[in-house]
Amino acid sequence: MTIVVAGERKEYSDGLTVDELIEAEKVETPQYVTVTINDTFLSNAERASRILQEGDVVEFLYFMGGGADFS
Amino acid sequence: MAFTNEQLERYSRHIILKQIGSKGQKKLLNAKVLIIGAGGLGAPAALYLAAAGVGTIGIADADVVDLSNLQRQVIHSTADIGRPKVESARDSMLAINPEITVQTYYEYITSENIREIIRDYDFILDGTDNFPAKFLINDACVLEGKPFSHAGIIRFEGQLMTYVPGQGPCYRCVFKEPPPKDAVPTCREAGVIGAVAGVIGCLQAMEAVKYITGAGELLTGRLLTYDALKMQFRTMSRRKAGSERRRQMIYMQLKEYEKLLAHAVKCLPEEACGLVGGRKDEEGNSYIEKVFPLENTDHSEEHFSLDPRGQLAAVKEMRENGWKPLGNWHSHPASPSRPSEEDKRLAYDSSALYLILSLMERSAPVLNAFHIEKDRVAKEEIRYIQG
Repeated sequence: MTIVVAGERKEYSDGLTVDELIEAEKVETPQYVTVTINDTFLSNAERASRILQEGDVVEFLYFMGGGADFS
Repeated sequence: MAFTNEQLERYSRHIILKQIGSKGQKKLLNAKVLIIGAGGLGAPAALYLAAAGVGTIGIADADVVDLSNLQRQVIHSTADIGRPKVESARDSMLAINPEITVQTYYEYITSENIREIIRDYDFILDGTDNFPAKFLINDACVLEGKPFSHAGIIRFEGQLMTYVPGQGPCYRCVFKEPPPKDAVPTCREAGVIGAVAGVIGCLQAMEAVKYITGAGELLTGRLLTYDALKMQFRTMSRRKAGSERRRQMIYMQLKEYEKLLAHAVKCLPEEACGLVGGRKDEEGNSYIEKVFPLENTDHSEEHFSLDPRGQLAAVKEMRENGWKPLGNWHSHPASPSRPSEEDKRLAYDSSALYLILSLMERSAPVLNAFHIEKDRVAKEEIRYIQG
């Protein structure tokens, strides 16, 4: 099936879960990434069970945070 | 090319100088020098370059002659008030030396036209009176591999340096980035004594003549300052910068920087944050096309978390424009512009850019860009571009 991942069209076999996609795409800091499928935010719990469909548009949004923490 | 009798007479004081001679004079006659700005600095420089027989002199200025110019811009006279400065300048130059060619540019020099214009010339003189123009000239000359003379004057002081590709730092190597708007007064606001323009403008012409003829040593790797009141010239040396061309640069639209700064100031005392989007070229240079200010969901003075919804919208907009997310930015309202321990810990991607704006000193905000890999922080140089 063809899906769009971070703006690029990619071919993956059917039945791929989001967790599997994250691993295949070598996503940095997977524990900190937020996934959207077709503009809907996916909860972390769903990542193992959600199966990707033909034409799904997936974005990886990295948790971006930080701070000043100077004493 | 043989000299006519008239040329031998006209340039005799050059030709008998060992360091110039007829060879040097030929080089001058074949040379092309561009003067950007027909004002305080450009005026004396243009007169001396015309007198020296520089074969082609380009002069660019979008202004007309004004009464207040005449206190120092000796290439214009009272009768020229209201005329385009470049036309008045051309007339004066040709009156001194009718055999040279003067190319006038009665227009603003901007990022749209500068690279094409400077390509035709061997040496450029910065005779401008504002920082964005000075950085624009610097960046264009570095990109095009053109030597140029930088100068600036105010009140009773002036400064000067010469950039020759591969032979020392450029203006930006020394002065990093334009000062914040209104931080440094203009000559109109602060005043300038006419002769300072003469001193420094003539030194610029001198550097151009030396470059063309190969005489003496150029003011490369050094910054000259002149204090007319103390009657002091000082030279400060700067270490040679790494080759400008080969370093990977980050280019950022100046107006995007201003947008980032304005948003961060508005968010005070909280930290502001967002994404930057743009593209990278084959050499690894990054071009930040747009700054996306996003909500800091922590709403804290010391921490930030980017709002994921805002991120998604920003990323989609980037895709529509053919851009990629290049990294993120955040402000440090009361601490320096470098990654904190927390910033380093939460740096998610070693190839991403992390921009940090310090508002510690309100009158002097500092924006730096970093690559972060675990504990290793590499500061990268940002070049602001206009237009």
